[in-house]
Amino acid sequence: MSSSLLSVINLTKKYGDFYANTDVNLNVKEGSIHGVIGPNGAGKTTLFNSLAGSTKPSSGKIIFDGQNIEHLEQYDRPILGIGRSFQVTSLFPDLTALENLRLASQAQEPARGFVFWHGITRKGFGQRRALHMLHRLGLDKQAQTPIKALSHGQQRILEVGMALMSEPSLLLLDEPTSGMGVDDIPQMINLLKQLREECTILLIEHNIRLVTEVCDQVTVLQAGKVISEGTPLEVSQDEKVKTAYLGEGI
Amino acid sequence: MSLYLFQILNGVGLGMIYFLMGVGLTIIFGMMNFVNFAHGAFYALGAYACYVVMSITGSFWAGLVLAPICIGILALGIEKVLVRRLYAVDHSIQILITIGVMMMIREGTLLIWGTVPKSIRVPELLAGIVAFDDFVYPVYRLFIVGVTALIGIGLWLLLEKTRFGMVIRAGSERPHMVALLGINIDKLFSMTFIGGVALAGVAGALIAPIRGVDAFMGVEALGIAFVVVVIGGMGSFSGALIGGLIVGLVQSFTSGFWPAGTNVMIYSVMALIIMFRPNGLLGRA
Amino acid sequence: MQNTTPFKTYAMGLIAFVILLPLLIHSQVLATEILIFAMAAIGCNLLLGYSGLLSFGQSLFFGGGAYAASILSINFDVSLLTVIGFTLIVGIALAVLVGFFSIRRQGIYFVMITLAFGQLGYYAAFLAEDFTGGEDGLLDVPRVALKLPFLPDVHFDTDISFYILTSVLFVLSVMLMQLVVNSPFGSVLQAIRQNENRAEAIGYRVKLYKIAIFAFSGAITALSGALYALMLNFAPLSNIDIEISETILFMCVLGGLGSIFGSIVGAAVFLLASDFLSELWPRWMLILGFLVILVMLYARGGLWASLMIMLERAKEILGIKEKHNV
Repeated sequence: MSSSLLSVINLTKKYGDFYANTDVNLNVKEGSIHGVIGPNGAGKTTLFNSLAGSTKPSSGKIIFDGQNIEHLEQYDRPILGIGRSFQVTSLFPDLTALENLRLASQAQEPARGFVFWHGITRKGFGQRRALHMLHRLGLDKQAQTPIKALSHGQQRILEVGMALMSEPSLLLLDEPTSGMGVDDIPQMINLLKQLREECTILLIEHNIRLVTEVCDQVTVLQAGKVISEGTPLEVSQDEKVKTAYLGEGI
Repeated sequence: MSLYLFQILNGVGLGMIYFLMGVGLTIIFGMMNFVNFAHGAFYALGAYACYVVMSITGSFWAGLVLAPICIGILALGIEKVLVRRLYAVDHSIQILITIGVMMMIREGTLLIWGTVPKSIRVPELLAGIVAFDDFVYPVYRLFIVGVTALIGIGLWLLLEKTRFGMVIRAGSERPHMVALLGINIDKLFSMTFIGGVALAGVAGALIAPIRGVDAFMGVEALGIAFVVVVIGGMGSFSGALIGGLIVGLVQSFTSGFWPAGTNVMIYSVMALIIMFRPNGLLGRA
Repeated sequence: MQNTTPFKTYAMGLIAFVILLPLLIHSQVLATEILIFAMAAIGCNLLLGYSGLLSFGQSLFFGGGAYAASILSINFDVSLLTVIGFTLIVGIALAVLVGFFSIRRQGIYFVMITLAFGQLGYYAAFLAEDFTGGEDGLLDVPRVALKLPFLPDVHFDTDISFYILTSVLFVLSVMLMQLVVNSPFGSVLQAIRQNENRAEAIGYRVKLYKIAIFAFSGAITALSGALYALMLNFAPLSNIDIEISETILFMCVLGGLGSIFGSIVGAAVFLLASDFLSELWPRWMLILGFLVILVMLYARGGLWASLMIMLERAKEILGIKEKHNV
């Protein structure tokens, strides 16, 4: 049995008197795709933000690769090997696709961002790696296109590409298919299946089809707590999960 | 002892004027997400309007009542022509455009009334002093405290106890909800803008007999109004009150032992507060 | 390297500009003033146009630079290079200080905090009479000579020699800033301006970058303030007034945000208009206010961008003509 790359231990996050997450425990095995699902308001996004570092948990631990990371800032995490995507596409709209990816690559060497005495095309500042990534994402032709001129589907793919530039060992995806048309979803499923070869993935998803098709392990949240865990099949047969989703239609 | 009382009263009087400035700024920002850098210019115009009405009618009271009305009418025009187009744009653009407005108002006042400051005489009724034992205090300054307190209470009642106020408060917290309630948002916005700006006009008219009237009083007050909302927390009514009083008291006490240093002290207090409470004393995170 | 050609072109263009400017406007003093304020406008543009930071603290850097240079020149027998070095250090120190406090907040709070710092600086300068001369300012600021080893001292007492000095510093600092905005550092600033959260999520320490660009802005703005004081032989209190921040901001906006050349155009147009109109009508700033509103409403790229668009059009029209000729 492979070991855990990411362990969440008794993670609690409260906003005032409201508990968004209560004692959440989670283990993500190395090399797996782990899904987190739950009805609206279950605390998925809060959990995700704690993992990505955009909020700090109130208590509990997050252990990544044997290291406590719950106190680390958001900008520290990509360098450790944690990449994240955003649910609502969050790129640099006026910059080209190439420049977006190049910036993500350049960020891997923190000192390089402060180099002010020469241009950005110098070797070692991510240009080449960004071109490779564009090729891999199938967006070669869009290299010089500003983000705001790309289609929604292309933006979603690039969103994942940004997270991949740090060569993450753990990839956090926040509803990767959000807002995507039904026709585009298979493309995302393919990308995810490809990615499992190189990194561990934790994703939050609404699209049940995607979860059952790609995830090895699923955690179900409701009202901030874990109510079920297991393979997609086990989870879908769990009575508690059925009740939780009642009215939402699983 | 009486010196302290004197300074406290002075501080409260000034603080309430600053509160009027700050609360207009803060409501406009909270409700409409609009940054009004011309706020100080409207304050200066309020003082000029009071001066003009007074020199025509001879009555300070007419000036005090008509000044905010004039400013309100001007605000209505500016809202319709310009401000309305700016609700959706970036804050920095709002700021730059309202600076343009501020500049036009400032140059306009210089054009009409010249560079020589105008003075307004306190009306007979308020010109004297009150004396309790050995403590004497100008009536007009007490009058300022009274009037601003009344306006403050009225404003609080309006915001807390009426349907209109409820909508404004809801609007400051969740603007899109107000639209869902089927309320005419354009009308609500222009009323808020006019109201907020008119409050600056009242403040200008009230301070005029003490400070005198000139075109540069606007910039000075704008700086102070920002300090008030930064200290109190943007978008908060009680924040503006507390911020105003803190600034007023700091100013008044500092002038007791270091008259030249009052402004330095105000801005230093602000820097200190931001250091420990970046959201202001009552601001939301 | 592909970057050398445009870089050389920029340099040639700038040198041509500083040579032609005094010939075109027949006043070395006004030309000097244009270069000085162009530097200040670029300092503002680095923050607002390239990094999305609207700062009202520029007067603090400008006035701080003016005082720093004046105090040193009046009281000590120093070389010009020492004065410039000291000015830059003071500018950077002030900017890092203001930056450190103001970037704790974003958006409107940020703006208000920089404004408050600007005001604080003004009142502090007003109080510190021993250093700044208070309301009277510092009088008789000498233009110290450039002392070089093995060479005679170089003096800048004439208008033309001071213009040459200003030109050299102007070309050097504009080239440096051109380098900065096109560098990896500049690209991170662009990213932060467009999407701060994403910039942080891919691993950039946004706050450090903001402080760093403040330092650049403080340095160039302080240098321009110092040159202004040396030009006037006088460091008035109005150098640190909020109106200086406003003026610099207007030049920057008028010329075009996010364009170094825009700032040069903005400063030139502002000062030429001011020179011409203030004679005719002392309240010409009324028109300026109106112009700023128009630019922000209808031509956010400012004069520079409008000029470029017109050039493109002209080229198109000429291009069509050429085809017809063929």
